[in-house]
Amino acid sequence: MNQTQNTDFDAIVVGSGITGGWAAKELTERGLKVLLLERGPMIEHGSGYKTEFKAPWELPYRGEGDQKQWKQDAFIQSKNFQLDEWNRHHFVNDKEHPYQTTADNGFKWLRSYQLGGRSLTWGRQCYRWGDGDFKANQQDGHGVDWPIRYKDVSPWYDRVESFIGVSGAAENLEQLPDGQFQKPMALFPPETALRQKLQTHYPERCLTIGRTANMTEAKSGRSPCQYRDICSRGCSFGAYFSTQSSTLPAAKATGNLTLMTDALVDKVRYDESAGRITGVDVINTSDRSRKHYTAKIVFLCAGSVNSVGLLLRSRSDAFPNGLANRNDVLGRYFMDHANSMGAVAVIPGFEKYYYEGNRPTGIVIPRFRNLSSASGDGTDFTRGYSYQGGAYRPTWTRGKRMAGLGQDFKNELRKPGTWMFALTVFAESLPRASNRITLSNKTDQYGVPQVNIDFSHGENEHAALRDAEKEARKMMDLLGGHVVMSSNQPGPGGMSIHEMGGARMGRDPRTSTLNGFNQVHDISNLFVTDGAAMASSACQNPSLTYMALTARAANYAADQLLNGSI
Amino acid sequence: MKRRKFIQASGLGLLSITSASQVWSALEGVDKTTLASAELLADLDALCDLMIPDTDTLGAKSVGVAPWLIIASEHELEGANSSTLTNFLNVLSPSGSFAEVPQSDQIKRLSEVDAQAFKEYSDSEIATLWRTVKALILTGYYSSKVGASEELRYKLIPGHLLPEVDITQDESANRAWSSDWMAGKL
Ligand SMILES: Cc1cc2nc3c(=O)[nH]c(=O)nc-3n(C[C@H](O)[C@H](O)[C@H](O)COP(=O)(O)OP(=O)(O)OC[C@H]3O[C@@H](n4cnc5c(N)ncnc54)[C@H](O)[C@@H]3O)c2cc1C
Ligand code: SF4
Repeated sequence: MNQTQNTDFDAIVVGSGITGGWAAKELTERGLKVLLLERGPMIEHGSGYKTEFKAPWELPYRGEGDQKQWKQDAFIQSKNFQLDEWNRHHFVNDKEHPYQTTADNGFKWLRSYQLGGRSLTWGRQCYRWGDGDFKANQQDGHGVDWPIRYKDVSPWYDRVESFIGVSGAAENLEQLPDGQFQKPMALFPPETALRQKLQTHYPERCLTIGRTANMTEAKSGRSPCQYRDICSRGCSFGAYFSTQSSTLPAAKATGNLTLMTDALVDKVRYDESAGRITGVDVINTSDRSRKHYTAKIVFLCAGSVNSVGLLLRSRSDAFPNGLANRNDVLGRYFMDHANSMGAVAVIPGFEKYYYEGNRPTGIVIPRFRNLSSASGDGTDFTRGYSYQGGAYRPTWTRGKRMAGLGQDFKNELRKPGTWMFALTVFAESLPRASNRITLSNKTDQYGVPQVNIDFSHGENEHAALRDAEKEARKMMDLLGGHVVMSSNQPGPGGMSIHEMGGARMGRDPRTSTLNGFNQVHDISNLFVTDGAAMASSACQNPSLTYMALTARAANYAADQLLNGSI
Repeated sequence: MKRRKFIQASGLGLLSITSASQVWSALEGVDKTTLASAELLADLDALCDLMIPDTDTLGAKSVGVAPWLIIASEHELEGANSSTLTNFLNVLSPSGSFAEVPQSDQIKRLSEVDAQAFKEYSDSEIATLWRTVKALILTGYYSSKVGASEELRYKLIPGHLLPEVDITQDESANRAWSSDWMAGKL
């Protein structure tokens, strides 16, 4: 380690969510003294999950939340259908955390500002990228070539999966490589039937159980899943991966971690003469006091939009357009999967079956389009899409859409509804320079410039969703399903909650922000390891890849620091 | 008319209590008629009773859904607002209290409205209001302790997943889970 520097910490990690927790764990385990800065409040594992065991009748709005209040302070967060009265406090107050968008039906930025970030609220779906995903930009010319390939990330996927606990079934698919899985959760009868029918009618399509960071086997102080499916309230069993249940205890156990909540990083400081980052400026969100902390390396893990916003506002004479932005790439090539409801169908023939227990995952049908070449299937789009969803039997809420009154109606609702099957779509989002994060001239309550998000889905995404709707209907037909709803219209940007890009990796410093180790091209002690680093989006949920890239970058940074290269 | 007067008064009364929990405890703890007129509560009780009557489990009136409907509409659940309930009752029973209409006429009238709302999918005022009020009554009932855990089944910690329970072999398993959270949201 470079002994000549006298800093408060060896490393500073900004953000304690999915990636920040990983950075803190890996860096502390390598012996570095780490300051983990989180802008949101403390939420203790277990005791901090205030609503976890509440029944609906114990809540004033019976789980639906104060809709009148939400119009004032959750007008964006409530776009996520999973927002409810139990988890409302795990998502931001939209009034207190404003941002700007360019389009009318602009980007919906779904966020959690708290210890653990969105690791507390995420859907836990964990998918590796295939080698084809890392080669896609090179093959069809959209975006810049990734400087890494699957083989570079594969051992880090292993490390992450083994540590966080991912349940799933091995399927030997190149486009969705197998990982270190705990035993899979079970399929429901209509799902098994569709899996079998696909094998006969569409052998290139595989329906498998959703690979999820809900554990089916116990590990180090964490219990297996109890099948409640209320994860976003927080889980005191520690049965799903969150910072609190998993990476934070590991980082704390090293004795090398200093954790600070209510600590908003306003700017990253750059020393032009040294060509290095010296530290960060922090606003205490409780008393608005400001402090500066120094470190030898800084990891940005604030979530794609916030990390890009932080770089943009960390201007200096050397970087008048934002830190690490010599090339006008910072903020551009921002992506989010285009998602739609491919089909929802009533499925006959399985009436004798019901289930007990709430499975906290669904099914996935991985990408099957354009696998051999960019648009090799004769489709009118490049790349692909995948489905998630699953089968279920509606409960009493279906009564809101049904005719009926009195005893017969009550008796009807006493029974589960007929089986339904839902297939939602995630289509790959192509990197486009015009999809962009910039700074607005408005500021927030702390005087920090707000971000402006200019985003729209392109024609390629629309074409993919049109195909996905058609194919979803065909697959429901295979089950004799009666489609009651289907769509090829994407929700507004942000609704997939897979926002990524803005500080992309690449081989060429003129066209990218980061090198293959998430390191800023010409600032060796600054790393960005959240979704901002992504050079393309594939069509899988991305967080497992963010974690693998973070673990890889942290170990690279530790090596470099310990051998004196940084 | 009395009913309309009530909502103005109670609307102001409820608005002057700022937090939801205050409203809740106000309604839980004291004589509800201090906030809501006896006529309105009687009408809502009548609706609740027609919608989900007592059977081998208590129904919506007996578990006290009516006062909750007032809170729920004030706080705009299911797309309601503070006048939804009285507006609906005014068009349902323009000549006076619905509770005072003979029960057979109540059933006839509400059945007609229900058919308009859910079979014909009419967008008439009464059909639109009824879709909202019905959703509120169902929510109030099936999220109550009786509705969720006696009429339906409620298990917060199942502890296991049985993916393929044959309900023809076990009649008791043919009862919906109120605690199937995802199915409830879809
Ligand atoms: C409902 C929902 C379902 C999802 N489902 C899935 C899924 O199934 N699979 C999947 O892969 N992904 C899913 N995601 C997305 C996933 O949550 C994100 O990709 C992931 O959390 C990103 O990790 P992160 O560390 O970059 O950001 P976050 O987890 O958002 O953490 C960022 C942290 O940084 C803090 N922060 C921000 N700015 C600053 C600052 N200036 N100073 C200090 N701290 C700061 C924030 O408060 C936050 O705690 C889902 C998200 C949601 C909300
Ligand atoms: S479903 Fe499993 S992981 Fe989710 S809250 Fe319940 S026990 Fe925890």
